[in-house]
Amino acid sequence: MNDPTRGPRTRAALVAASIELFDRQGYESTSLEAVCRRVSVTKGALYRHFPSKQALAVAVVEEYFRRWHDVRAELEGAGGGPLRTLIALTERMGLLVHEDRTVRVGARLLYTSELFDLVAGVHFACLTAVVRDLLHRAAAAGEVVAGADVREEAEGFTTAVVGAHVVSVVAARAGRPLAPWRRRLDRLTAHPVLPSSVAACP
Amino acid sequence: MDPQTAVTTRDELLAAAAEVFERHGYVRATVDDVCLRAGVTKGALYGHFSSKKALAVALVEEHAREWARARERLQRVHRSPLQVLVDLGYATDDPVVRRLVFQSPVWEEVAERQLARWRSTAHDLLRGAAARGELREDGDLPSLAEGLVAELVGAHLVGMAVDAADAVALGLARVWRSWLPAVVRPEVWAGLRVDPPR
Repeated sequence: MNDPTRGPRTRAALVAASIELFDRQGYESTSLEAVCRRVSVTKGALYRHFPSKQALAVAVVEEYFRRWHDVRAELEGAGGGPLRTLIALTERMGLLVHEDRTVRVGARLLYTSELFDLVAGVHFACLTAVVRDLLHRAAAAGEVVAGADVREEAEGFTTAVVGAHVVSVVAARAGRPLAPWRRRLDRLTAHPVLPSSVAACP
Repeated sequence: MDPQTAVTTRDELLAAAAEVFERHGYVRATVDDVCLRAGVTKGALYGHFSSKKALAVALVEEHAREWARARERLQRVHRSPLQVLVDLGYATDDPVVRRLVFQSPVWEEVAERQLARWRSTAHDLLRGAAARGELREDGDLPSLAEGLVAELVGAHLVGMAVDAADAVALGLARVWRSWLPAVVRPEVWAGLRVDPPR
């Protein structure tokens, strides 16, 4: 009864079940009853963690944001330099829209539901800050051509990444992810051709 | 009902639906709100549209038809297909339709078709520009169009998250300023206007 890990475990199970159900039948068509049934908890237990379906969906999108941070931390840890990190991060997240259920469901919720108004602004601001930071460090390391407007480039790069993700989510197209941001990078980098990092990412 | 009245009622219902969706959002809007706004009975509405979703889909389709007409108009005004492309980008800037396409449950019905429409139009206009020798290289035009549309979609979405009326237009102009010089010949780029048409 007083197991202190039970609350967090139930919460995690509810989020995992939501991801699965949202993926299979969509956010609009998934009922809270279905989520409860899947985890075998009462609706009262669900409401202790999430006051509404929207709150549950926000938790799912937060998992998606966490993936961005985790992948970035992992790549930074690998020590490939700021520019390589930026390319690998962008390519990996583009692939994960197709391959990872949490990323797919989170991105779909973010871009195609009412959650957009709640969390998209913050996400875009964070994303732009991450890109700007990596580009600034790339510039400091001499990896970017002299005189580049890093602020402006970061905004443009983020726009291209967001657009590619939206197109992937909406069209649910398999195969090679779009990389409209790559052309920008080719123009920005002092080294004209950077090998694709996709092959290096399992 | 004579055909003239039918057309008017349908248009009035669509205009009312656009206002209701704008004010309450698609999810919270009701068919009753639309009837009230248009001053028609529910029976009359159902004579034209089977559901709230049908209203939304019809709004998006109507916008697409207007967009096609805008293209014809622009092609009569501008010699360069690239200027037509730039101005058409701004002509997609309808906040209500944008929300229906991306942030409502209607997206599953309309978003993919809308993107396909943008891609084929962009491809078509790029082919026109290539035929006039305006591009730096006539490489893989379908991929070029696909990448461009992704960037424009990104500008729409990022702009929508910002609480400023001109955020989308600013984002679109930013895309054009970086995309066009990389793709078109310098002398062509010099003659293009990338800011919204007045």
